[in-house]
Amino acid sequence: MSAPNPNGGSLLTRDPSVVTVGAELLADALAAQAVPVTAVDWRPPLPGTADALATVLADARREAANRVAIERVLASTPHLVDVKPASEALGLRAGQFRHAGPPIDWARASGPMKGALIGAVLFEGLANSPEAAEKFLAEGHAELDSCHHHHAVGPMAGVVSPSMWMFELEDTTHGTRAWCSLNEGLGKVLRYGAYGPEVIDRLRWMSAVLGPLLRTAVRAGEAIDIRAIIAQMLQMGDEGHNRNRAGTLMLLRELLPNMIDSGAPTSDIAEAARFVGGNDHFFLNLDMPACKLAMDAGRDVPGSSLVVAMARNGTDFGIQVSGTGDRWYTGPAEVPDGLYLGAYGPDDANPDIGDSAITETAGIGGFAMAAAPAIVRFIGGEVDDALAATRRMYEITLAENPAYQIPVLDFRGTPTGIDVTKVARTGILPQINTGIAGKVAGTGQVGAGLVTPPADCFVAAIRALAEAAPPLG
Amino acid sequence: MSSALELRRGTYRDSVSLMQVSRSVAAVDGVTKALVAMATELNVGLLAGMGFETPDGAGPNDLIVAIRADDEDTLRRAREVLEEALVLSTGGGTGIGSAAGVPPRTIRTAANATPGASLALVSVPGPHAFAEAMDALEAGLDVLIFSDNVPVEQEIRLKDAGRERGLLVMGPDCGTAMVGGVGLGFANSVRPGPIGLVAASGTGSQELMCLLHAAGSGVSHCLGVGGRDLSEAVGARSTLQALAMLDADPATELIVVVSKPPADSVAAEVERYAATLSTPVQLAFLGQGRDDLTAAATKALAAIGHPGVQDRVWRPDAARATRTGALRGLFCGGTLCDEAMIIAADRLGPIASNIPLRADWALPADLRAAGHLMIDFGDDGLTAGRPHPMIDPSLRLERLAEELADPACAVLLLDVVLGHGAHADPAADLAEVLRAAGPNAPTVLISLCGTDLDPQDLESQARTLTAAGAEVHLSNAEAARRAVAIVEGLDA
Amino acid sequence: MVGPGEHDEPVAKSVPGSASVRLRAVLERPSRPARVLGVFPAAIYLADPDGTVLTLCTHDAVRLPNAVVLTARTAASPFPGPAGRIDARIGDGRVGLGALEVTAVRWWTPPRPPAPGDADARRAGRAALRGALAPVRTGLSGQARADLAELGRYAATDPERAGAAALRLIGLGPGLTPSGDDALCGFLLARRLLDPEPGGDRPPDTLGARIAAHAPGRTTDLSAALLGHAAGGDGCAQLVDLIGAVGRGTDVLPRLRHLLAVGHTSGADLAHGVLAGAEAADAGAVPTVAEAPYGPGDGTELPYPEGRSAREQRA
Repeated sequence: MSAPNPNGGSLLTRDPSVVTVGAELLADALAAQAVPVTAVDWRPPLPGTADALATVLADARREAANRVAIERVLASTPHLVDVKPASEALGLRAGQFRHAGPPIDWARASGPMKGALIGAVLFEGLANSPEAAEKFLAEGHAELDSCHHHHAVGPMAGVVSPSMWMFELEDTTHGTRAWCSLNEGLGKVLRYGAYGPEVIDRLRWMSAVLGPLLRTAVRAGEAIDIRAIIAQMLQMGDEGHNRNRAGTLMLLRELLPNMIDSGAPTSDIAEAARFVGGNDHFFLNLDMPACKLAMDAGRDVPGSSLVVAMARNGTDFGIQVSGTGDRWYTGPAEVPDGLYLGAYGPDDANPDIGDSAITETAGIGGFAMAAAPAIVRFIGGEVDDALAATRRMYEITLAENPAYQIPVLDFRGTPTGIDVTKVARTGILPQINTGIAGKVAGTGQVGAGLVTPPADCFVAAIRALAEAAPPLG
Repeated sequence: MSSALELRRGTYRDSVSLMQVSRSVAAVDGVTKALVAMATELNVGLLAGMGFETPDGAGPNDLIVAIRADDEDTLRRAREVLEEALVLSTGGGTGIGSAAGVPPRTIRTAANATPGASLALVSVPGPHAFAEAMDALEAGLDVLIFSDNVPVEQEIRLKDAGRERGLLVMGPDCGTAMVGGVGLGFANSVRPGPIGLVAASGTGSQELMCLLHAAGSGVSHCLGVGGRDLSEAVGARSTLQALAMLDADPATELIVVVSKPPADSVAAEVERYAATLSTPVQLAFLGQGRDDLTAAATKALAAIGHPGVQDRVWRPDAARATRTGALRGLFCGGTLCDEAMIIAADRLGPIASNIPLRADWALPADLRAAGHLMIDFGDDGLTAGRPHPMIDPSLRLERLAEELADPACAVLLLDVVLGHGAHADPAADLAEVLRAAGPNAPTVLISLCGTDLDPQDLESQARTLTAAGAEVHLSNAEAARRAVAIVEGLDA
Repeated sequence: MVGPGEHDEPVAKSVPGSASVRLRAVLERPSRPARVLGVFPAAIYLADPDGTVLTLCTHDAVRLPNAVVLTARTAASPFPGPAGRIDARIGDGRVGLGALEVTAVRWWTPPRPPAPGDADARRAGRAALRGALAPVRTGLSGQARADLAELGRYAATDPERAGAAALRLIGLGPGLTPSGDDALCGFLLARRLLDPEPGGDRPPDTLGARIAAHAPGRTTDLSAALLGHAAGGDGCAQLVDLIGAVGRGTDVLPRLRHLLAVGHTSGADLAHGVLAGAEAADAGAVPTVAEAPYGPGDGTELPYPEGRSAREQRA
């Protein structure tokens, strides 16, 4: 939040220095009078939002509500406290599945979502062939619901079934918990919609060996401060969404001694260490629930226009807003603009998918692009584009996170807490860094790049906030 | 079909750079497949998927290049692109800093980037002005809202939000202000002096400032409050704040409040508050049976012991024969139009207008009437979606040409407003239309609102107009009186 | 990187400036060459052949009453570098400085404080300033402070004795504005602006006129000019703000903090002068010896924002 200008109320005693928005002619007239002028590069708001914007901006609760919400977000202190199966963590029973994004049914699900669900049904032993699994799902035997409805998040398809193991994080400030699955690595993996035998075998190993080993290691030590690791990784070239290399290695550094002390077979420990260390995105599944905890802390403040979730199910992009509870505002998910693996191209790409946009919601990932110049070439861009991207996000956010700093911007805090009103006013959409899944079920990852939410989400959200606001006058 | 497979050992590049290189190579016309990647397990798998053999001994620190193309020539071009892209992938860009010049997109960002920013000037279209003004208040800036067509309930909310923060909201529809010698919006350059203005009327305050300047006095500050501030609904919210600010200003010895007559309850509140101040306050409420602006200026000057205002008249080079008939006024300034109508109606009876003195004198939508009429081209209804006539004179010039050709019209009365923000040479365009008029054109009277310090220069503007046959007055009220006299046949 | 003025061809550049109304006569005369007195990142000081001193400064610089202010900020380095000779001119409404030409398009008026409050408010203001100033490092020597106290004590009753003390302060200390002059500026301005009898703009009082007349030749040209402005009731906003705060007995500490940020010890020296001037302005407020503006005297304390030394804060 911007502090009140200490110069306020001194209009007649100080030489004017003017911010202008609108007619250039009036700014020129001031400059000709030796007045310092800063001109705003103004554009009309998102189409159809002008009236709703005025109502929401006039809501006397808004400024204080946003302050309360964002202060709670910034106060969040996520710690890794346990690792356990989803049956324990989320209370999932056989036949129950969680998935990324806003709620969706089988019929509307995209290829990778279907592929991941097929894989999960196979993994849980509810069917013995992909065809049987598909039939099982199509006939509605599975109960599907959003991870977000259960204090959980999952990257890409984000499919969670009872036997999968999850990280458990606790926000020690607010006493809340959030969960996320373990990261499987890159390429042909369940979360990108692949369900071949190697995918299922890897999941089995993760449940049989990796999960229990991580649990032993986590329980043996003190809770691991995830915020501290995120703060450091941002100073080591990671942005926490498409690059998690430093974070992964720092996590491994924390866990490895206790893994070795666990008494587990050294071959298991070596394999687990090799798996974690060789998977640059392993830490993504820790920074995501850390961000989830932070944003959940900002939920349910009446009058607040803070975005508390951005998530995609491969078909719809949805956002949730603090002031309007659990309601989703959705629009069609867009295909990311990016670079493709091997011979894959844009025609192979599925629309945007995954809960990982929780990182941008909490001010890292694409919002911290300036911290990760190594990956700006996803957009065929240059380092300046990364700096410009982060600077642009300050236009639509409520605060700068003092815990997460960007060295190249003179250690300015990351732009944190998307304000629906600012998005509607400027038309600047949140920048999300993301992986790209193949659109055909079973393909896996085909690339990585950048995407923005559809503007419709924000148009719907600002209108809903306006309906919830007291009328003006 | 030609293909190439190559393993470059010990050539490490990060995967993102290589994806970009792959894309460049694949983009070559005739290339069907391309993979440039480190030979990780994943990428070796992709290579197999493309139908290539895995090179012997390939490891994750080695670079694979695999290209399939329509023919050898394409393949050669693809290799050239590959080498170029590989070189480019190791550098480029301009580094830190050059993104710093990105212009701010919101007032908050602009205020943060401008230490010492004190004021925001908002002139976006009316439906969007509220959002910008609110942002300015939240950033701790006083605000001048030049925009019109802002709903009154938004105005009230902004003024309440401003008062809570100790900030002044000038406007909406505040055309003029002067703070510390700086003119904001449409403003004339006047010398500093002891008189402070609180103005609900833009052109009214411009006229007053020019008259005070012409008399040799000057102005400390002029705080605009917007045309509706003294309405019953808004209740003089900004006027009261502005009065308090000027009362605390050591340079201000007399405060003049310029407005149309407010509702009785609002007038009473303003009078009650003014009486509590240590600086004397003169209420110049303009209306029928009240002082006009010229009289108000004289009264203000008398209060500080300064000689009064004299109208200045620039006679036309060649005076036209006067005749009786209809009086037609074409104005940019609403208050100037109002003042002229009050003076004229007193003698001539009904004056049709788009801002009529009485509801039954309203002009129809086509703005045509047979008798006396006056049009305010700066009114909200005529400025929606187009610049103010002080900036873009075309609409008024069109009408002027018609009136000049109308034998029923005896006198044309126009205002010309100079100063910052206004047209760089308003007299030139007017003079051109005047010169084009036939020998039987009506008498043209102009009230010229400006000073010798204005960028357009008062004297040269007056000369241009007199050379085109117009009679120019500094006082709008005197110009109106002269027009009435001609229409009544009392003046030769 | 090519530094400004090193390799670039000089290109004539005309920019608008806002000039102090006190410079109107000087600027409106025909253009003539001027002498450069000093070049700093935020300001350049010039003297015209008659000896009138003019400051050309950035928008965020301390705004002296003789300033022509640019819209550029100091960070933008709007001035030519200090190396080499700079051709300067003043007149025809402009200030020329090498390739830079500044046109005075607007006149600004040096600030005046609000009318002082009643005797209780003024007493409270003086007490607040006296307490806050005690630990503040000043450039004034013990003898200088004794002279300042004497000036305050006899300003109303013994003009000869006060005048003699004032003359001893002129030009005392190093720098472009010596500490003794700063103290005199603060003194003259506070005594004039806090006079409980409202007078508006008046000619300089006798003591002020005497100091202003004696200064040229005994101190730097800039400092002598500023003494003249102080005698006429003008000073920088930070100084006038503090005087206003002392007169009303409110906000003395924040205003003092702003003033202390001016120059090296200039702010503190000015503030000591303000205290002496405020005491002299109030009939019957002649300070007792115990209240006189003597600091502890060793000059080692750092200015502490809350007006207490770091040591006292810890205690």
